[in-house]
Amino acid sequence: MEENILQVTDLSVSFSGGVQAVHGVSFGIRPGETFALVGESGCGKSTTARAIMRLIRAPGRITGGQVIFQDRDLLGLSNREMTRVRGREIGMIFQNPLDSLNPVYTIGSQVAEGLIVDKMEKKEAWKLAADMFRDVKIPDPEQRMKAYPHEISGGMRQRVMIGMMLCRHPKLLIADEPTTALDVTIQAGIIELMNDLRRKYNTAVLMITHDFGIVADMADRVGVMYAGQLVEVADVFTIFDEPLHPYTRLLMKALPVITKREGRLVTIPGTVPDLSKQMEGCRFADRCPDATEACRRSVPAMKEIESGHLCACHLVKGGPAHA
Amino acid sequence: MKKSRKLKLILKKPLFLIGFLMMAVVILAAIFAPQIAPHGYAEQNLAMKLQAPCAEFPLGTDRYGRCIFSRILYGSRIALKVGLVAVVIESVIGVTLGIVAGYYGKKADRVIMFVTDMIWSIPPIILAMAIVLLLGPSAENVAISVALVTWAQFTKIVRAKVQSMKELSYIEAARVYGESDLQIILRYILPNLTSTIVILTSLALPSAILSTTSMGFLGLGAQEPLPDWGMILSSGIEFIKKAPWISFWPGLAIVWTVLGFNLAAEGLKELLDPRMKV
Repeated sequence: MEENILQVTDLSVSFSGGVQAVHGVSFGIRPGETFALVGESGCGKSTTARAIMRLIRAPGRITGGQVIFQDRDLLGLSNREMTRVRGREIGMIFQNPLDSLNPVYTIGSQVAEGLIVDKMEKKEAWKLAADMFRDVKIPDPEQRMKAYPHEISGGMRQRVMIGMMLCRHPKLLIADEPTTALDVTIQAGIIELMNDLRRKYNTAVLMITHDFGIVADMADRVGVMYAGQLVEVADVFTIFDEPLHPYTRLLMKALPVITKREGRLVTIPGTVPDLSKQMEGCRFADRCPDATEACRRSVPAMKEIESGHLCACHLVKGGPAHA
Repeated sequence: MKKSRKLKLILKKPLFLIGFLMMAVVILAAIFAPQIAPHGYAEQNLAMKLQAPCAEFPLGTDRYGRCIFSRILYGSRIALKVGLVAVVIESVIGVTLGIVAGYYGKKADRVIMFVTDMIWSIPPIILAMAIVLLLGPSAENVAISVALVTWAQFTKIVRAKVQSMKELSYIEAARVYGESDLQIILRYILPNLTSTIVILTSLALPSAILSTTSMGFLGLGAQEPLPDWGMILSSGIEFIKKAPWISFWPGLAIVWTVLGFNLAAEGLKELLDPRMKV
């Protein structure tokens, strides 16, 4: 197996008041692979992404774990070294493209800016930026580069963001719900674009989403998060066909199927537990239809059920404990 | 908004237009004082002392027979120069500290805010007087002292703006893009503060001019024979019954200037940021 480009081990993030937003999350991403972190709102997927980039702001704090990126622990780097990793080696695009661009500069100069920071000649940077605009399928790049952010649409701005983040060829791109704020028709275009570009530049992608449609379209492997913990990791086909964890199984049942006409939408009863309270057992136990006494008493460990398929549940038998 | 529409907006509010015109008069008077003034500002004519306004001395003379009109014209140079220097110094101090406090937060914020609140709580004229007495009375020292007591308003507003700006995703995106703190401040924060700074500066200028003339009135500003408006005004008080023009005209000049600059600043504010309340 190829070495992981990013290896997150036992990552934990707490907010003041003892809220454990992320608790002992571990996963790896291989070069060129797209790994999707899925889960409902507030499950800690965005916090995990921000922790990798070291963008957790007070009162939040990374309380433990390792983030190994190309043989270095990002959590151990100085702020200056981290600044050099951001943008150059790991790019990130955000949920809200509408105000992700600086309103006082033209979009072209913002894309070229990163290249100029990397000591590139201004003219050359501008030319490369124009190529990037072509790559993200913005028509008439030379003209469009002179536009200010407020003069272009939301979908176009997200394309600019993607271009801006990819033009320095980072090894890893973190996409935090990049299409949530956009129209469905535009979403499809952005997903297609990201798929094209990640293949073209062989960029690994960490995709944060709650949309299984996007998972199906993009991901190679999937990690399911619940209440700050990773509960199941498997390749995308296995997640859809043979989910093991009760939460994943219920999520799959809750997906609306357009061809089925009868009945109401399936929901998972209950809500996400209060993360500021100490929890003894499995965090999903209260909502789990099959929960037993053991589930409420002890936290289930991550076990490798089959090769490449990890699951943290007492009810799923088999496999050795996973480090 | 298009430029022509902004212009229409200005014309719709005649007060702003009046303000701009009043401001223009003061600025022109300062530039062309030597050409307009019938006499030098220090030119004495003891035979003509305490003259009422007449053809030769349009606004009368003071106790040394100096032309009030000429003195007021030259005095506009002092008022504008001292006011401008004070505003430049105070905005540099205030904006810098405001950005540092708002951007870095934590300890820097607490220290800067403590000092700001302290300055804020002392009556400005009294503090300014103390500083001038320490440095010695002169126009330059008045500018410095006015700046030192007024930068706090810049700090407070800039800090609040930067704090809210920090939450915007383009600042976050800049960090993700690998920009250092200094680059973020210079390329992202400062340019987006431009309208705030312009508005604050334009509002601070008339109040700095007013403080300058107050200091002149107290005898702490530019010294005789320099024609400080505040000083001319206070020198006329002894003769207020016999020769009221000595105090009246510099008083009117101060009101005119401060009102004109204030109205113009209000107009500028409306143009740049209609939602901002300072």
